[in-house]
Amino acid sequence: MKRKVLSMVLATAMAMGLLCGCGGEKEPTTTPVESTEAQEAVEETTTAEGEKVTIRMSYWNSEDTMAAMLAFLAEEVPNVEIEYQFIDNSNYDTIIDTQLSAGEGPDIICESPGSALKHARLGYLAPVDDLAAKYSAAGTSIYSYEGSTYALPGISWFEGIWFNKAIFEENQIELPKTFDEYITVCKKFQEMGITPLAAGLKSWEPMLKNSMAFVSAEYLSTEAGSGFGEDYRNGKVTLDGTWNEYVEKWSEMITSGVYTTDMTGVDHDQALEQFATGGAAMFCSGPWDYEAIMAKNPELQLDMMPFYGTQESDGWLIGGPGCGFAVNEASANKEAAMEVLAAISTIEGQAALWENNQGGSSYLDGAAFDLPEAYTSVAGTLAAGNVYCPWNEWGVAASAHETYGTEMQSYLLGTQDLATTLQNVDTAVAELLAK
Amino acid sequence: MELKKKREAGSLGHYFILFILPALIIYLTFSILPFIFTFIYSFTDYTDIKIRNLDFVGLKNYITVLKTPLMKIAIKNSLIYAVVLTGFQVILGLPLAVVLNKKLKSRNLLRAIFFFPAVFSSLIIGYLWNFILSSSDYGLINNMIHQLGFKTINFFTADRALFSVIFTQIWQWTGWAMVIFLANLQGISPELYEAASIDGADERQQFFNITLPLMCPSVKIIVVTGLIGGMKAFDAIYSMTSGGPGNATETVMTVMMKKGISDGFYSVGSAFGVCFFIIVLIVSGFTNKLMSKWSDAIG
Repeated sequence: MKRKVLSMVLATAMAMGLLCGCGGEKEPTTTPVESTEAQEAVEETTTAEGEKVTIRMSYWNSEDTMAAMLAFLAEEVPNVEIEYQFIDNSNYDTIIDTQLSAGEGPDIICESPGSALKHARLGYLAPVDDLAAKYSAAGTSIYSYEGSTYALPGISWFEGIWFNKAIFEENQIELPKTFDEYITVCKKFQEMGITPLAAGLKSWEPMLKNSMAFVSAEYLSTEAGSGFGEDYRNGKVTLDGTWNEYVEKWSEMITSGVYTTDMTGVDHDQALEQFATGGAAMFCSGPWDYEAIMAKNPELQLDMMPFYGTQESDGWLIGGPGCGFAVNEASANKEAAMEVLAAISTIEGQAALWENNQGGSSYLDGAAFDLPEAYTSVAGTLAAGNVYCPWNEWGVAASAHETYGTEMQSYLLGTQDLATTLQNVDTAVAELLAK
Repeated sequence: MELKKKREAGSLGHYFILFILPALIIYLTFSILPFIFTFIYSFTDYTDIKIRNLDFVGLKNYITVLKTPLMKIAIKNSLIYAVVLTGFQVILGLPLAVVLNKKLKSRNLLRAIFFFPAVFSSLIIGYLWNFILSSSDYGLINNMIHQLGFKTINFFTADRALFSVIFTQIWQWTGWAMVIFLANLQGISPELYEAASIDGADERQQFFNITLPLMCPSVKIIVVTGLIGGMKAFDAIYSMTSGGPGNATETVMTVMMKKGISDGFYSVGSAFGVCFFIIVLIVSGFTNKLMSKWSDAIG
């Protein structure tokens, strides 16, 4: 009998436990690092001071990259407590999409241009036109939808070619000024037994950015190519038939052995290691890798050069607004979120944002920062405003840039020709645009 | 004194509801219900852009699945992955279990060593092998190859990448299969071997005429779970190649994640999920039938 009673009690407890677990608050999303203690602390602050509002901000970069800005906001907007939520880039869009479609989500969302456009179209974002007027059109145009702006551009990101100054100087090699000179430089290094470029082609990113930088320099920045992005997102043109000659020329990177099939067995971190420890003269990346490179080799004489087309120019960098700050239309604390965005949209706010993202530039009118020494050779490129990200112009098909990268891997490995490569990207873009 | 009536199986009356309810609720909520929704969505135009007022589109999504070349690559790769991995698990795990069932001094240590990789997550194993197989000088194998004066071997070309991933998974899961086989081996009566010895059967004959036929139940478990698990491969692929280079190692699950979730084609992803369910059903049904025939033949 005792056993019977005990078993009934246990079973009831289990069922109750399960039901309790299934229920609960409607706001289940917290960062992994947020513990119950952190939650209690937030509640304590809110209840003790009565008027402090807690809002949530999500981003795909870690909290370190926003540390100075969060400290600035804590001082500048003392009535708002910001819960910073880091979500890994690989799952960021999926998580945010799910939360927004459920009428929830963070109060301030860091948006890529493609997702900002999608969310604006679905009515998830509040317009930020008044604040957007403080920024240059180059930064806000990609966040505009039907006459309104839905996100404010953060510090720009860019990718160029890091190079080891010592290797260049010791071997008396001049910096190239055109694509052909760049290939010649690479060949000279090869003859000397030095790997010219370290590349982690296990990832789809390096060939995407490298080839698109060449197409930007050679075609998209010209009068003939300036309208390509708009035409492409409107389905009027295709890559196949337009980009072939440029990518064909860029393919000298493959035929001259700068990019090799062996590199598909190397990932980004391994390539970075190879470059940082003097195993290669160059490495394509951006400011986000600066700390990692210098940590591996503090003695390294580091500088960055831009990508070039066949004509001599200031060069081009692949990049654009790193993240657009947007406000969730369904937020219960929209006013507080707008207050935070207003604080970011000041010279001081941009300076705080730049603090942990040095190297990039601000789109806020009047905000300019000194360029660190490691970017000396791209100073002219940045001053000329030659920073461009072609897929930012593709609208809701922007995510197809990943397809471009993977198709380029197949092209490198010789499993398909260039026309097929570009056609496959066109198909992926057409599917996304037809949604 | 009145003797307590012994309760028989199935006579728990209404109590059983209390016991099965928690598991039943979890199963219905997280397995059956999502599947029903997946099935319904597969006939709609549900995307990340259109999340309300869905329209019925008939078999359009299924046609898209069948027409997309990437889907075909994914199904082919998943089948290769499942069959090769399961095959090697049996081919290597069975003799390993037989050897480690013998009275060796180091058998417990060896069993632990062979089982050890199965303790880790496939993601961790993937990242570990990623380093070992890297074509850079920092890759363990290529570093040794270079020191011996040979050229770099790229384990991640379009032709080799899938098999490189499968190799790591064979390394990880053979020990697990070995443990299942060992459990089965220990259940075989020693008298059968004694009788066979008296009849003059040597070790090879004993293996093929006693051990192998009586291993049918464990082989069945390994083959069925291996094939289903292999068809659902995701974590090892994700950590080692992310489906690349190009689309060389895309599997059903990686494509479903990319197309269905990341690109926001929820309805096409759902149709792909339903197709995948049918394929797994056919593969496991066929395997079950085949194994049952073997079981009947030796029974």
